[in-house]
Amino acid sequence: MVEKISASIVPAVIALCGVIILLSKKPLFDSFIGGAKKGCDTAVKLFPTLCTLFCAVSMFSSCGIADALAGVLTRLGIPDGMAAFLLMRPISGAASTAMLADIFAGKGADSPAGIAASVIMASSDTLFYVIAVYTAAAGIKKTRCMIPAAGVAMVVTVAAALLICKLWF
Amino acid sequence: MLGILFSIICILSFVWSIFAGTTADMAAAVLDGAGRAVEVTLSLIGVMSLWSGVMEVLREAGGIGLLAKLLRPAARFLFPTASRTGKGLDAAVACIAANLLGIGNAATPLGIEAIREMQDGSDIASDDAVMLTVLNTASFSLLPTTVIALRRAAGASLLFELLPAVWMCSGVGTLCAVGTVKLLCAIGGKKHG
Repeated sequence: MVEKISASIVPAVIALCGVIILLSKKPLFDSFIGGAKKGCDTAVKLFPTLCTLFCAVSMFSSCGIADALAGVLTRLGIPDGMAAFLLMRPISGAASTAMLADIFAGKGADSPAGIAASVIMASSDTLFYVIAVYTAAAGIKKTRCMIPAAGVAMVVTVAAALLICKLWF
Repeated sequence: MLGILFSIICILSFVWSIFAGTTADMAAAVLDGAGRAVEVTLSLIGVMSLWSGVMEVLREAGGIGLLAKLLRPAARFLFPTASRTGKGLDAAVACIAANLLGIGNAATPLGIEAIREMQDGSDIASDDAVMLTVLNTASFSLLPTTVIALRRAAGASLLFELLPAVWMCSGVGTLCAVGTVKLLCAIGGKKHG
C-alpha cells in the first residue's frame, strides 16, 4: 500500500503538470520545454566534475585500502561486515549499494548487520557526490564548513543507527 | 577543499596500491570510473530535464509558491537570506519536499536550481547554500524507497518495520546537520551570497 502510493507520486506530479498546461491560458508547455533545456544544460556541465570524482573514487575502492581500514574499524567494535560498507557509504553510492547486497547475501537481510546497514543506507546519502554536484553546479570554489558539517552529521547518523538498531531489533 | 580531498584520495590510493600490489586492478578501475561518469551524466540529463520542466510549470502555475508559503517558518530559520530575497527559496523548499517524499532523483535538480539562485555567481558558499547542501547529504526521507526495494529483493521479512528507526536516525542526523552548520557558519563569520 505504502509502496503503491509512493510509486504513484512521480507519475501523478507529471499528470498534474499536464492538467495545468491544458487549463492554463499561458503557454506553459513552452515553459516546460524551457525548464527542461535549463536542466539539460546543467547536467551536461556537471560531467567534468563527475568524471574527475568517479576516477578518484575508483582508485580508492580498487587499491585495497578500504579493506585494511575496515579491519581496524572491526577491531574497534564496529559489527563484523559493516566496516567496509561504512567506509564506502559517503564516497560511492554504487559501491555502498553493492556492499549492502553483500551483507544481505552473507549475513541475511534480517540479521543485526543487515538491519543496521539498511537503516544507515536509508538515512544517509553519498556525501562527496552531493557536495561535488552542488558546488560544481553553482560554481562554488570556497565550500567553507560544508564538508566538516556534513561529516559530523554523517558520523552522528551512523552512531545513532548502530545504537538504535542494537537496542530495538 | 574538494580539490585537497581529491588529491589526498588519489595519492593515498596510488601509494597504497604499490605496496599492496593492486596497481594493475587500479588502472582498469580508473577507466571504468570515467565510463561510469558518462552513464551517470546521461541518466542525470534525462532526470534533470524532466524535473526542471515540471518545476517550471508548477512555478508558473503558483504551486511552488504555495508550498513555500506552507513551509515558511522552517524556511526562514534554515535559509534566512533566501527567505528575505526570495532567491532560490521556492526551489529549496521543493527540494526538501521531494526528499521527504522519497523522490531523491527529483530533489537533486531542484536543489541544484536552488543553490544556483542562492549563489548568484559568487564562488564563496553562502550560509544558505551550505545549509542546503549539508541538508541534502543528510537526506531526511520519510519513504526510503530504494532500500525497501533492495530488502524486498533480498527476501527480508522486516520491511516497513524499519521505518521508525530510519526516521529517528535521519531526524537525529538532520538536527545535527542543522546545528553544526549554524554553529560553524557563525564561528566562521557571516557571509551572504
